[in-house]
Amino acid sequence: MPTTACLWALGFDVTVRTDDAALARFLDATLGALAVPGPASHQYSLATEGPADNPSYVIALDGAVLRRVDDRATALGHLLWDLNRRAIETAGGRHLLIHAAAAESAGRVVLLPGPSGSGKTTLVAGLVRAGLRYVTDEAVALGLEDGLVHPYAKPLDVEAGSWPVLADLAPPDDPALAPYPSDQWHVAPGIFGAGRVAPGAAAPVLVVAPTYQTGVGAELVPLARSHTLVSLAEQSFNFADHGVHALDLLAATLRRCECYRLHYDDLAAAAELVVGLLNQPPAQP
Amino acid sequence: MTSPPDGTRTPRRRAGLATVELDGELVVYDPGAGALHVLNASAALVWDHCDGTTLLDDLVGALDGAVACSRAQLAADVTATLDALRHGGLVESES
Repeated sequence: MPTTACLWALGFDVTVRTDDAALARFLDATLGALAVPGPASHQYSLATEGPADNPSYVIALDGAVLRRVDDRATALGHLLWDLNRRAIETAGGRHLLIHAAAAESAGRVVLLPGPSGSGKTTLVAGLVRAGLRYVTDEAVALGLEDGLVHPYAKPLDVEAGSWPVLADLAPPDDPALAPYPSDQWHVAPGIFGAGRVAPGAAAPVLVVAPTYQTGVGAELVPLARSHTLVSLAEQSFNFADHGVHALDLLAATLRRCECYRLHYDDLAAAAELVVGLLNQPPAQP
Repeated sequence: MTSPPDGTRTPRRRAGLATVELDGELVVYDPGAGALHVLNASAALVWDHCDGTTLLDDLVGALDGAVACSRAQLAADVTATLDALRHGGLVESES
C-alpha cells in the first residue's frame, strides 16, 4: 500500500498509508514540505472499504479507527484536520502557539496574526509570491527556550473567498481525485517553487495583523506593542498553559518587532508594503 | 461614578499578578482570571505607587508635577484610575 515519507509536523511525526492511488499522489504532493528522512513514530491509514466504484473510507491512527466517512473529500479534510490538531498538541509543551501565518526572508520573520477569515492565508500566499519564504499559514510555533519561530509548512488552506486572487493555486485537475473538497483548497507550499519554504527557525522582527477591508487598497496603521501583546495572547492556543513565561516571551519578542495593522483588499499592494517593512534595516535598540 | 477622594486610603496592588513594560505602558496579566490589561503611562504610574502603605494623599503628592494639571484635578484623576484598577481586579480593597 502506498505510504508517504515521514512527515514532521511540529514534532508529531507520522506517515500516511492509503490504498487509494489518487489520494496517495495528492498527499505526497500536498504534504511534501513536511517530509523528513527516517522512520516515523506514528502511522495514519486511510483505507477504502465497500464497492470499488463507491467506496467509503476508514481513517485510523496507529491501528485505532478515528472515523469512517462516505467520500474521499471528507476523508482528506478530516485527515488534514487531525494532523494539524496533533501537531499543535505535540508542540504545545515546548512552544507558544499563535494562530497566525508567517513568512521569512534572510532570517527575519513577519508574523501575521488573526482570526479565521482575517486574510492571513491570502496574505502569506501573496508574500511568498513576492519573494518571501513560507513558514506557516495557521500556527506560529514560538520556541519557549530560543524565542525563534519554528517552521510548520503545512498545506495552505485557501478559502473560497480568496480563490479569485489566488487562482494560480487551484488544485490539480485530476478526475481521479474527485470529489475534491469544495469549500477549501489544500495547497502544497511546493507550488511556489523550489526553495520557497523557510529552511529552519528564525527570529520574528515584524508583526502585521491583516484585516480584509473593501475599497482600501493597502494601508498600514502602527500598533502599540502593549496592545499587540494582548492580541497575540488572545490568538494563542496555549498562552494560559505557560502563563508568566509566555508573557515574558511575548514581551521580549515584541521589543524586537515593529507592529502594524494592515487593512487591505489589494493583495499585491499589501505584499509590497509588508516586504518593504521586512527589508528595512533592523531597528537600533 | 467614582468614589469620593479619601486621602487616608492606602491602595494595594493585588498579589499574584505579573507585569511587563512595553514602551512606557504596562501589560498586567492575571493568571487566575486569564485576563490581560493594558495600563497607559499614567495608569502605570498610579499602579506603581499602590504598595499598600502609601496614602492616597501622598500618592497624589508623588505624582504632582509629573502631570500638567491642578492638584484637585490630579486627585480626581487618580481616584478615577484607582476605581478602574479596582474594577479590573488589579487593586485590592483598601484600608
